[in-house]
Amino acid sequence: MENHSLVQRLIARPEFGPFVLLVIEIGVFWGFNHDFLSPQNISNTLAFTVELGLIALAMTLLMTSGEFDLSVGSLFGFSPVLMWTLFNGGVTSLEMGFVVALLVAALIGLINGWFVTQLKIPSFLVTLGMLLVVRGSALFITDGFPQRTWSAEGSWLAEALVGDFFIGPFRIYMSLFWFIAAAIALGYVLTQSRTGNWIQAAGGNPNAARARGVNVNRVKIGLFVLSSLMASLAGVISSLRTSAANPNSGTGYELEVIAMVVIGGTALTGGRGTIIGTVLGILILRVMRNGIVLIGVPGLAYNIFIGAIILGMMALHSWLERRHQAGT
Amino acid sequence: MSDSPILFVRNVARRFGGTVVLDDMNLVVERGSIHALVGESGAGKSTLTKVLAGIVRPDRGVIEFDGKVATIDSPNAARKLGIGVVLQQPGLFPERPVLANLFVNREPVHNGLISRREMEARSRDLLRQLGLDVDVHAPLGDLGPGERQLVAIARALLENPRLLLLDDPNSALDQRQSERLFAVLRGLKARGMSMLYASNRLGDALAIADQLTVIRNGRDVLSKARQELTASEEAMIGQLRQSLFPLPLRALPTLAGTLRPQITIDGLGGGILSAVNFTARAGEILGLAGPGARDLLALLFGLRKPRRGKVRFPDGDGLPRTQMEAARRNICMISGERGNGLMPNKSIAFNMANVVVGARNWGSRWYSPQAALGRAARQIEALHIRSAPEMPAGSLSAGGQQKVIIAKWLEIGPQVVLLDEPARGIDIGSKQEIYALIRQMAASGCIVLLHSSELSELTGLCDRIHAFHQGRLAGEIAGDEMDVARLLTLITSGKPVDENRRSNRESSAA
Amino acid sequence: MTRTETAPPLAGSATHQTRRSVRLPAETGAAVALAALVALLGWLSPSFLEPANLLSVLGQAALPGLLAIGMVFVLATREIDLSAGAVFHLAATFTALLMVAGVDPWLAALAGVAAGAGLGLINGLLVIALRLPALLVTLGTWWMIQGLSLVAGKGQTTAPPGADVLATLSGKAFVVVPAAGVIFVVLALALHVVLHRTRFGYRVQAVGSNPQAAAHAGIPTSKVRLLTLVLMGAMAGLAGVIHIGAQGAVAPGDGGTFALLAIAAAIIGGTSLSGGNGSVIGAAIGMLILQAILSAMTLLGVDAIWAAFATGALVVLALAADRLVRLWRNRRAGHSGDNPLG
Repeated sequence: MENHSLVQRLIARPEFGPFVLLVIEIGVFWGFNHDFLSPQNISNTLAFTVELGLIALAMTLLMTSGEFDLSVGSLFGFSPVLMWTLFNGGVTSLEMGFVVALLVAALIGLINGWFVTQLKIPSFLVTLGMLLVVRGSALFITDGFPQRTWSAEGSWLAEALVGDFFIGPFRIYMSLFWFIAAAIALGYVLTQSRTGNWIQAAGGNPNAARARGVNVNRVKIGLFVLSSLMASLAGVISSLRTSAANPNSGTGYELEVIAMVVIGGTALTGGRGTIIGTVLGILILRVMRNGIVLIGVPGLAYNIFIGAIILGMMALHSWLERRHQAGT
Repeated sequence: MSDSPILFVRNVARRFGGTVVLDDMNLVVERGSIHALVGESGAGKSTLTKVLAGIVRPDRGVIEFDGKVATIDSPNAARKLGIGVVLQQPGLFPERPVLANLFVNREPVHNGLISRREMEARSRDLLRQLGLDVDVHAPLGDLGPGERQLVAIARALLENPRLLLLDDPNSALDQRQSERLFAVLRGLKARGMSMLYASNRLGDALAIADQLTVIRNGRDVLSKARQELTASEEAMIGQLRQSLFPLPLRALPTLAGTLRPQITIDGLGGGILSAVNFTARAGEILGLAGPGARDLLALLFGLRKPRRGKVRFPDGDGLPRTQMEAARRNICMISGERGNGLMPNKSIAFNMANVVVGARNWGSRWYSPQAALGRAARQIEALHIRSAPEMPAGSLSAGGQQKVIIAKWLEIGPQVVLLDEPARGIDIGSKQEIYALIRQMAASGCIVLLHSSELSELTGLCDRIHAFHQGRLAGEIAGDEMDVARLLTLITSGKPVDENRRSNRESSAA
Repeated sequence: MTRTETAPPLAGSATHQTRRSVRLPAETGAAVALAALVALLGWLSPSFLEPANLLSVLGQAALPGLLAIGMVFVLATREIDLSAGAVFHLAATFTALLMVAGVDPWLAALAGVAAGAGLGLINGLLVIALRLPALLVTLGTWWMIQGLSLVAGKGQTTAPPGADVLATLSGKAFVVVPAAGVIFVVLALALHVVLHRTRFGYRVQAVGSNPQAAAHAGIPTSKVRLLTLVLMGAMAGLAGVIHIGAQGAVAPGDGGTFALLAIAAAIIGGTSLSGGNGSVIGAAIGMLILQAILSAMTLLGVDAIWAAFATGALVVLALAADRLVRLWRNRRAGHSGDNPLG
């Protein structure tokens, strides 16, 4: 085997492409509008980015195992709504409401996982249906109206999750640290733990994995639960930060999250995943969204971009896969 | 260490849908010995291996391991008993590094994290013994098929099983790798490991086994110690197939002479095939053996693009560019992979109409299920397919399925028939019928090319055989000269027997 | 040539008792389910059984129903088209905008259907060019088309003035039957014949059952897939045009759940997700079942706010039920485990 230099090995990594893309993108937008890299813009962008990012991290693991979860957006909106309804109705404290919301989310993840592994229904369809169920539930609880949310200054939960402080001119939220912690933890799990190997095996060749004793079903169910939990957590964080709880929020997030994961280099068909790549993908897409608004493109056109990007990345991966196969 | 056998298999049976794969199978593996399980493809070796590995559960029967009745209902159960397995399709992960593949779900863990260093240490010796000199951090997909098979074997050996099951473990290995493997296996036997070695190569089995069991149609027909095998028994096992083949038909008089339709191949290269020239004529079965034969068939069917060379088909055109174009031009490919030719969930009638209805661009735009049923009934009658036209094709036995695949082409009368191991996995009786069908097709004016890795199949069925050696045409044998040994020599050395002997004498004299 | 006449039954061959029983058409199950459902709902709320109500259910089922019968062809080739709802919406918006711009309503309608077919064509070309499954391609195009709709309609309800002319589409044939319903029924019957009695339909089933075998037999698999997606787009476009005619306007949320409903209806009707078979009439009945449940809920006093929840739950339950029935049937036939030889 040839000895590749450090630089050559860096370039060969799947995360290299997204990294270059991110750098170019930031450069382009900054060129258009210097405000782009202002502390205020960065702080604002970062705040929301980490919320979506938490979902993307979980989605990375789920997609590596070969499944998708399209219900995350609806859970993002549903969980805070549930929490606030319980609180406003005097049923529980805010913290208990939070726990209840997480438990409900876990249950939904369990149901998703059960349908996919036991009934062998494609995860796309199950979670698409679940999306409607959860969204409908959110609308029902609130009658379609946003919930009242007191400014959660006093609650220690809010402090822990979204307490903010200033580092120099940058306004940082606690959620950023939660995100970093999650990224490190999940990254380690995926690459350095047996569980991570199970996930990759389940996505790469589930029959071979089962023949070696890997409990593919349990792994997938666990990942569905993780995905729902993250979506729920992200929604609560967002709600506490913006002091709002709208049953319709989160609409469309699932696709953006999938796009983030795919751009980062995780294979669509499963078997291979990268957390670092997802982090890059998160930044690429959020920077894009922020940037095109700054430039003045109508926000509604963002959807078209996302769709095109998803298609483009899928095609690219598919082409690379085929070239790799042909070469061996 | 006790002297009792480590494994008893009694009356094990298993069927899949309509096919009986194992039927009252019995086997005894002595402790610390290598037991060979010999049989044709389709005899049931792989299924028995999977039963013992916990991947498939038997319908009936008793398995005793180490003196106790064992219920092997999952791969984990097999592992706990101390059974390791190397399957025919080993279930590897090509995108992951070799090291990861060696320890799938058995990774050594320190403080919750996988210890790659320990994995490297544990595997280093074994890989060296097997002759695998590879970068363990590179993806498995970078290795060749032989090396990949060795990785699969290494994976099983790393668990130090008490009973090792091997299903055709050297199918992708060359001579040298095979010998190395056998040396390793003998060494392990000396240290007390018992082995069940399933293969359809009698030569390998005789070389390495202490005991031998012959399996045929899911039953054990002979079980003896290697030492006790008489010469006639050995010959019988090897010759089990000779009775299968119909007498070769003389070419029909109307097709005699050079006016017969033919394929002319001129300097064709692609895949591992390099510059090949020959002509194939209608009315005879042309055999292809050795590395490169498969690529030739793929080129002729439009599955592969040629690097160079020209081909001329009877219809005047050159190589088809896609398999669809090939089928449109009445060039058909019938392979042992029945997945490529059969729609198992659709009825037999539907399948038979594949080419007639599905592939035509002229003629009626309508499809009549009634006509399809009638068509299927005719073919079922003619080909002795034991079923009814409305039954799903997947419910047929392997032999029946292959007959349906052939029948759908007989409907339109192909000009070229490419066969790639057509009788693989089929029971003896149906094999006979299919061989007869192939003969019929040749006699009725098709150009028939047959590739098989079972050389005796070729010598029994073909009129001429082209042998390939490393992608080049090494020679042709026909008529009386056709025997397996001569063919094998051509394939492995590229030179016919006489030249070989001469060069051996020269080198030994020098 | 030696031939063994009656070969003794060998271990490897299958022995079948060929049952020459009369086989009911596959759609009977769905039809029975529909009848039972209508009876049940009628018992729960007698006004459900009023002819005007039943016909209104038919009329409402017609639009997603057109998508469902198109989806059958796509599912039969083992693909899924998630963008159908967005195509519906864009076609409707496109038609409305053309009418606003003064184009003759019938011409605009034609353009709408053509636009739908065109979008289906793009889906198909992308599937071929990118060599990706339609599921993933239409995931991306779903978003893009939705984005296009939003930009074109500026996120608001578009109500073209000339819609009254198209109102014949909202009118009634035979006094009581909604025109949309008539179109739905006619097309369902026509497409059923196409699937089961034409060469195209045969090829669709062949490609879905085993694409490799179909290719080996000479069937142009890519072209077949492309045509099913074009057909799907055309049906979605047609539905969009009828929507404008019937409702007179198209709102941003319209058609959002249509794709999912269409898939569920097709599955209820007997089309399987693993491809190779399909029942158009079954899908039509399936859509009637779904719509009946949804309409009944309003009648029973359930809040309209439950619509999303109900749709999602229905879809998931339909998928689950289909899978359970399949498993039960397989177990009865004695198929267990996987075939190592196949």
